Amino acid sequence: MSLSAAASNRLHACHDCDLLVNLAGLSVNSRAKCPRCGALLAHKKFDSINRTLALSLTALLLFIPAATLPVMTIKLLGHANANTMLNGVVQLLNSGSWWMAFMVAFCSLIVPLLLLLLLFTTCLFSRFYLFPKIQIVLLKSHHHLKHWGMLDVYMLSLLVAIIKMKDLGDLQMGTGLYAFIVLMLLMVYAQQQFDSHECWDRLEGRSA
Amino acid sequence: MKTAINAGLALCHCCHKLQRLVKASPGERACCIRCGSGLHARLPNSIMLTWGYTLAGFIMMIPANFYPIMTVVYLGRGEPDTIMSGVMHLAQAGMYPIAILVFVASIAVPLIKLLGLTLLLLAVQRHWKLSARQCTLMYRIIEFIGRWSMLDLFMISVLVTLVDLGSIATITAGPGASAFATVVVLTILAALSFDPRLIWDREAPRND
Ligand SMILES: [Zn+2]
Ligand SMILES: [Zn+2]
Repeated sequence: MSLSAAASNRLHACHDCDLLVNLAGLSVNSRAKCPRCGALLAHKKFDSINRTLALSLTALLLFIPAATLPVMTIKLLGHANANTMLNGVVQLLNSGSWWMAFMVAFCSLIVPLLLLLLLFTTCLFSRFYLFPKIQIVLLKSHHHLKHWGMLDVYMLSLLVAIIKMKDLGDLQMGTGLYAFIVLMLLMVYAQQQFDSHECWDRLEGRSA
Repeated sequence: MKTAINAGLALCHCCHKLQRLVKASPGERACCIRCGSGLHARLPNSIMLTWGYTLAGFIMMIPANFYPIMTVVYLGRGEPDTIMSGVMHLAQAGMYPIAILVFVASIAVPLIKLLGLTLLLLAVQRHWKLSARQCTLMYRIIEFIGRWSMLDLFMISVLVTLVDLGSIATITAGPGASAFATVVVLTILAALSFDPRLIWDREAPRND
């Protein structure tokens, strides 16, 4: 190898245009942008691992009420019906739209839950330099799953559903909705605080 | 301007480790020294895969728009709605912001994504002299907006469970919804399999 380990650590290639950029001396809380295409190359975050740990753990706890408690209840001509995130999927399955049920469950329940679990375990292991082999698997899974978590989109669709239904009958917001809003915000914040580069670098510093 | 590919380096797609692209032995595939994923200078078969997903997406747009996505039965009356007729009903009811939102998420975004990717693919294959910076910007927008198309599907899943009031009112999902779910998956896969560095490779020989 002609490049020394130290030099190749500071050298980085833009993931969008392949330009080689030297990232030496990037301080905490600063961003590095590609001079050719403007892609965000690195964003060193302050205390990323501890923050992600706290945020993902809180979000995981909130997942239970958000998925099982009624999001809203509709009253129409004396009949009332509530909806939770879980029975939305079950209902679609029962009506035979299994592919759509799978997609909704995958993007709004399974992937967000997995992503939170991955964030939590990755940061926990990385924090204490535990199980490097498992960390690699976790980080790789996170990389492949992160595009499919869509809690923020689900939030907007809840809003649209509320506006659409408010004329039809008497609509009441449930505890699940409030739990869900907080969960969504925590999820977005945790994903934003998470720095996979830092986890990879820590992993390498240990194994090298 | 020096690029990684010219320097014989490759960025791992998964862990973003910059490293020398070497094969252990001829015929064997190169692997990332940090995470073990397959290592390539560019995403393998990027153009072909993106074409495949994009064309499949265009084809699935047809059933997604012509079959009903949901049926609202209110007091025994009601007829199936396609995506477009649903938007029309919302507009007729005076809910213009929601009508525009659903139109943008369900019709405009998938179409813009598919047309944008087609343009990018043609620009790369036919060496069209488009600004690489603007093409990259377009790719980033395509990548970002894709997930918001799930809006309509999530909303249907909310409505299906919420409005399940026996003889008074029911909402069921139609075959169009499953087709639309497929369109969303295909457009996301298409955007993920496209390698934006190909846009810049057209400029490489002159810059070097
Ligand atoms: Zn760049
Ligand atoms: Zn790697």
